[in-house]
Order: sequence, then structure tokens, then C-alpha cells
Amino acid sequence: MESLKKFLPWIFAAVVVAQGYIGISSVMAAKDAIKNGAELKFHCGVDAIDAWEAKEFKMNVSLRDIETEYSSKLYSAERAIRRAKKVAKKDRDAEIADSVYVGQIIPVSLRSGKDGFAEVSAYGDQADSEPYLRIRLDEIIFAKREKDVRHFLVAPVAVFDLPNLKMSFSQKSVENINAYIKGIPKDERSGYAIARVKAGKIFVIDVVVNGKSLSEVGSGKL
Amino acid sequence: MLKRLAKYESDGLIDAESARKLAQRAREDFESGFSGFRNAMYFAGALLVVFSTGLFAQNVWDGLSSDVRLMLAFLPLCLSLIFGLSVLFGKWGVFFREAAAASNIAACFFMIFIIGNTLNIPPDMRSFWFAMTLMTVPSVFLLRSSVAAVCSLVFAMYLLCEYGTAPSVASDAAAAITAFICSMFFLAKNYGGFFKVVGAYIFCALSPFFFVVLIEQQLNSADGGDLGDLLTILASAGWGLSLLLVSGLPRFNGIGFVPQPIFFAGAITMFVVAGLINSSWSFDNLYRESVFSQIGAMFTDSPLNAASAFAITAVVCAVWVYLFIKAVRNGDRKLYIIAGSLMFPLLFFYTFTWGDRFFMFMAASNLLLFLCGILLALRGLKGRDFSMLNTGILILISQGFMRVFVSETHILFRASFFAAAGIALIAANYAVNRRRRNGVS
Repeated sequence: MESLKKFLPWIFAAVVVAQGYIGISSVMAAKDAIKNGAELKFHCGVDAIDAWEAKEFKMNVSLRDIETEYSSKLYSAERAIRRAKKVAKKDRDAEIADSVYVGQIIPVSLRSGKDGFAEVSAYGDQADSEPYLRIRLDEIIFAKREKDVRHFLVAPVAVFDLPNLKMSFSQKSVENINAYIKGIPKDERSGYAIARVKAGKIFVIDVVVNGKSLSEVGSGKL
Repeated sequence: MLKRLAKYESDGLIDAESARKLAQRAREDFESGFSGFRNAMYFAGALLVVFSTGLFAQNVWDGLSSDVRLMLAFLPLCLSLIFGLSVLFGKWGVFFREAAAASNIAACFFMIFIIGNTLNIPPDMRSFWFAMTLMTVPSVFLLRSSVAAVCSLVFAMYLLCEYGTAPSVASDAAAAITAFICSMFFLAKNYGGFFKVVGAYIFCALSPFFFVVLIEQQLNSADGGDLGDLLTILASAGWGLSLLLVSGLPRFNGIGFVPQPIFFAGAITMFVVAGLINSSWSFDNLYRESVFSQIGAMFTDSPLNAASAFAITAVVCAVWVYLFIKAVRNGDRKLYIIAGSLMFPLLFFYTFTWGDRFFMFMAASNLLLFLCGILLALRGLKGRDFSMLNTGILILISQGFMRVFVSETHILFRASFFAAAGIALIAANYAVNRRRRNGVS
């Protein structure tokens, strides 16, 4: 033990270098994903850059949930369904709820679908050959309601939460962007984010609002 | 005793040589008695000043390019390496080893935070806490640090609490790390002192909740049953019982800093609760989404559950009051004034019953804590007592810290507040220390 103590400073130095390596590798992985990731479109909400975010000149990009047919059974989802059925059984007249919350983070592979928008190609297993994200399987939907009438879906639908992202802008471009977005009435705003996805990482590279790229609006090109 | 020595000598009760020896011994006792606590407060003051420097830096942060920001992300880590190596090569004392571990943990935190913020990496809190746990553990052994042990314990426990129900490598590893670090606290003979007490009591106060999470996970995976209600009752009973058992164990009674550990656990709980209630964001995210909320939910679940939960709360409070009275009658009253003034039972009861009424809860507890802080600080100044003064100042600063942190005041104002608070803490300690030294000499 005494001889080991002599090496403690060097072991400590090695540990700190390893900690630094974790930081450097995350920078490299992020830069690689931004440069070489698969480019996909995601539907997103559109809001002006508010006062708090403006201090950092970042825009909140809230990606909308993504859905797919619940075809591959997952242990955690099946457990949640079993629980929901058990609760329904206790209440004699009740059928299983419209949806069941699962809330587990799982790997989800994505592909470019209609008009370049992201679609779920598979979930549950991680395939390094395809762009994938580790996201939350939020719920399984069994039925939808229309004017209090329940319509059971032909096949249950799995709903995944996509992360809230941020996109940085220069202080100058924030003024142009806010002027453009605020010029469009809220209920007429529609937009999508263009993001690069690689090995579980996702980065927004542009947001298109009512047909115009915010990067170009910000730089004054549009 | 020092004041009385001269009189004893003039009365002929002791000779000059004995008076000199007794005076020397009394001075040594005085020096060693509070040095740990005093150092901790100097450290806390320095930390506030460092934090304020960080905020001043953030003020000019927007003007820096992303490459410069990324390079600066590694600066704290480099500084912590230099500091850690100096401590290890120079064989500096316990306080500096703990400081080196704390600076390394803070450096890792800032490195990840700055990289994530600069590159807009979407937050993945599970990976973040897992990485922080793994990066903290080596300092426990290399620097023989209790700060690192407590931090890794808390990180691992948080990981388990938030994500323990979803089986993964991270939660299994967190469980293993938690068990390992906890066993170290109980087995280590020379770990000693303040930080061991803190670590052990955090463990004792929180462990039943984490065991519940793990048990529920195991039971659910076997039959898919729903045992939430029963397990939450067991958890709250276990929480009270663990405190009761710990306070009765001679091993812990002999530590000396807190003869009745139940008060210390109460103080820690109070600070956690105070942190939660001071921010509606953390209140919503940490209270409602956590295991704690399951216990709160029992009040609205069914009359039977409400009665059980109320009974358990009442029993825990009654046990606390009984031990408090017993301790005050037998022990060091000063410690119990500090512990009692933290209003642990009241806050505990509020958390469980009125958790949803956020504003009233926040206003009432803020007022209580503020009054406690003022009274303790004044008493400490008057009696030249570090423990009273620092507890009071700690409460006031934590109040200010939380209010200023959650508010959206200008960054320069916040930076100035933290700088002023840090300097005040250092200056108050220095002034009292000087007065005490003058009194002794």
C-alpha cells in the first residue's frame, strides 16, 4: 500500500486526463454529427426568441412527437399495458384507457420519409448503420375520441417524445428573425426543423418558417 | 477557564507552572475545537466568490467565439489538476484534499455544462448524472475525500431515484456504486469527522426510498403487480425507523459532533426541502415527479391511505419531539438550539400535507428560515460563537442564493450578491476568530 501511495499523484493526473478525454470525445462526436449526420426534417413549433433566451441568442426548437404503429412488443410497454388492464378489471364497467403511459427511453431508428420528414423505421434495437436517437416511448394509444365517442384504432400507436433543441444565432440576426416571426399571426405559423442525426445525437442546423429559412432571414438574405 | 486561571493562581489554588500549562492546553483545545467548521465556512465563502466570478465571466460570455468557449471549458479541469497534484505531492492536510476533490468535481460539471451549452447538445440527464458519478468516484480513493464520497453517493442516488425504475446499465451501476460507497462509510475506521457524519446521515435518511424503488422494480418485473401504496407506506415507516435506529447506535452517538444524529438528518432534509420550495420549477419537477410525491399523493388517494400516512407522519414527529426533549435535557444545549430552530418537523409535516399549496408553503417557510437565520447569526456574534454565527449566515445565504438564483434579475446584480455574500462570510469568520483570539490571549 505504501508503495502505491507514491504513484497517487500520477494516477490522479491520469484520471483527470481521462475526464478531459470524455469532454474532448463529446466535442468530437458532436462536431462529427453536425458535419456528417443524416439530414432529416422534423415538424416543430415556432415561437419568437423570447427575452430570456435572447441573452444567449438561442431559439427553442420544440420538435413534435413522432408516431408509429406499435408492432414490435416491448417489455416495458407490455408491463404498462398489463397494469392498465388490471386497473380496468377492478372497475367492472371500464375498458382499458384510451392510452397507456410507458415513459421508457429506448433507441429509435429513423429514416427519411414523405417529403424528407423523419419516420420511425424501427424501435427497441439499436442499429449503428442507421441514424438513431435514444428517446422516450411516451405512450401507447389504443383509442381516440371524437365528441365523446371512442374509436378503437385498428392497431395501437406508439408515440415517442422528441427532444427540445436549441439553435444559436448572432445578436444581429435575432432582430431580423424576431421581426419576421412576429409579422406572421400565431395561428398561421407553420414550420419544420432541419436536423442532422448520428449515433444518438441530434443537432438543428436550420428552421424553416412559412417557407423561409431562418438562417437566411437572420443574415438578411431574404 | 482561561479567564479564571489568573484568579486561581492569585488565590494560591495552583502554582505558576500549572497555570501556564493549563493556559496552553486550553488554548490548544480552543484552536482545535472549531477549526473544521471554521475552515468549512471559509471554504463556503471562497466558493461563493468563485461562483460570483463565474457569473461576471458569463456577462462577457456572449462575446466569445464558440471555439474559445470550448477551450475555456477545459480551463477549470486544468486548474483542478494543478491544485490536486500540489496537494498530493505536498502531502497537504485533510482540508486541502477535500478542497481538491471538490474543485475536481466542480471542474467536471462545468466542462460538461459549457460543452453542452456551446454546441447545443440536447440534455440527456441520465447520461449526465451517470458520467458525473463515474468521474467523482476516483477522488474518493485518490484524495481520500469524503466530499467526493458524499457527492458520488448523492449523484448515484439521484440517478436511481429518477431512472431506477427503467432497467439499464446506468441504474445498475449507480446501485452498485451507492452500495459500495455506503459500505465504506460504515466500515472505514479512519474516515472520521464531519463529512463521514454527513454522508452516513444522507444515506440513512434517503436509503429507504431507493430500496423501495429497487424493490418495486424487481417485483414489477416478476408479476407486473402494483404495490405502490404498500411500498410507500413501508418507505415512510422505514425513513422514520432508520433515523430512530441510527440515533440509538452507540457507534454514531460516539462521533461527538452531533450526539443525536436525528437532528443532523433533519437539518439536511430541511435544506433539501428549502431548496425545493424556493423554486416552483424544482418544486414541480423534483417534488411532483419523485418518490416523495407518491407519499404526498396518499392523502388524496383513499381515506385509509390518508389515515395511515397521517399516522406515520405523526409518529415520526412524536419520536422527533421525544428525542429532542431527551437530548436537550442530557446534552449540549447549543446544538439543539441550532437543530430545533431549523423547524424540521414543521417543514416535514408541511411537505406531506400542504405540498400543493405552493405559495403559502413557500412564504411561511421562507419567513421561518429567515427569522432563524437572523436570530442564530446575532446570537453567534454576541457570544463569539462560530457554530451559531455560521449556521445563521448559512441559512441567510442559502435563502438569498435560492431567491436570487430563481429570479431573473440582471446577471451583474446576481454576481455582486454572491461576491458580497462570500466576502461577508469570510469577513465575519475572520472578525469573530480575531475577537476570540484576543479574548484568549
